[in-house]
Amino acid sequence: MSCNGFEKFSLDEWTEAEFAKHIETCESCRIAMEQDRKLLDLARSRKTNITAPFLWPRIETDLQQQRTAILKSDNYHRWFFRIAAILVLAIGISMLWFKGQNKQQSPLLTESTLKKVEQLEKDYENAINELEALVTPQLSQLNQELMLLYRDRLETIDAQIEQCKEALAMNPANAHIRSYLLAALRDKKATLREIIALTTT
Amino acid sequence: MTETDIVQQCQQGDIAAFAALYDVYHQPMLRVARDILHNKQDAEDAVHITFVKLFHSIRHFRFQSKFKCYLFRILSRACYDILKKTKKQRTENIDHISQHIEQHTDLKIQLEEAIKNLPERMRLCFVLFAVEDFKLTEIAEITEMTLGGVKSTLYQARVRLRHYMEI
Ligand SMILES: [Zn+2]
Repeated sequence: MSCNGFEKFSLDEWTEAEFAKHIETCESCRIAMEQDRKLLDLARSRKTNITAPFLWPRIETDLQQQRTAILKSDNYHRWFFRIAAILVLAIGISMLWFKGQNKQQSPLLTESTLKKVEQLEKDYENAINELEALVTPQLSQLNQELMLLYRDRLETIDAQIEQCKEALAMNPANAHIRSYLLAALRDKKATLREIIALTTT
Repeated sequence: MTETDIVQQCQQGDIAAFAALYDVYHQPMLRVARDILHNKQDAEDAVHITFVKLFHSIRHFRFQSKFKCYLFRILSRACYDILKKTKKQRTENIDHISQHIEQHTDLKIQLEEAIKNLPERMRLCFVLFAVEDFKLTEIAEITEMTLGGVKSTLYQARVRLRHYMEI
């Protein structure tokens, strides 16, 4: 029957001193240890250089291409935010126009429709609050470019929502502004869902 | 310049810094990949994929673990991905391994054939430990195993190799 002394030594259940004492009397463990040393010496002889002269040039070319792609996408993001900023400004100006100029001409919601729209807005806001609680800790899991992209997109939408709410405080039944607000809330919910999908895949 | 400096430069996207990392690590990476994949071209592909993945992920490296362990963890995953793709071919090859081992009188070639016969994770642990002199704690970090798991896997690997080679 073979002894498990070498196994105990290998799994650190026995100290070196305990094992050294053991092999004074156990031939099978002494042989196992010698064979193991021979195996490890042989394994160490595999530590020789492998020639691969074309490997780094291949990698370097690839890394340069990846870097160019990232720089291009950074440029794209910069343009994306410029356009988003212009849109926010345009929406803000149109809100002021609705507020000041168009009180009479703008279609007004009836009381019952207004209640329905307000309920819909509330539903969106509740859903957004729940999604935001999930997204906030996950945002840092995205790579830096995506994180910045989404953070800026959310800030842009929040600015739209704020402006709509300000305008509605003066003119709550204005159908145009209500529809802008609903669109912005819908956009925010969809964006939060996108982030969750990205961080859970 | 320390390795930390080089890694920080890599985090800024400096390709010369990646070249410096390549100089230090490409030989052990190639050897580990070769012993997992049994094929030099696949090993080169694994190292290539590792550097591309590293290029994208290195900005998230927070120096909480050894960089070497982080790098070899990416490498081992790249190797497993390549293995998955070539699994069918590999299974066919394994059928003939025992035969090859007996045929070779050169112990080094016997060992190479015997390593091929080990399960993937056992192969990785053995090569990191016995060929590349990684510490047990480093192997645990790379393979995401417990220290006890690594010790036990290494013991099993050595028993199997001694058995295959009859040394
Ligand atoms: Zn014994």
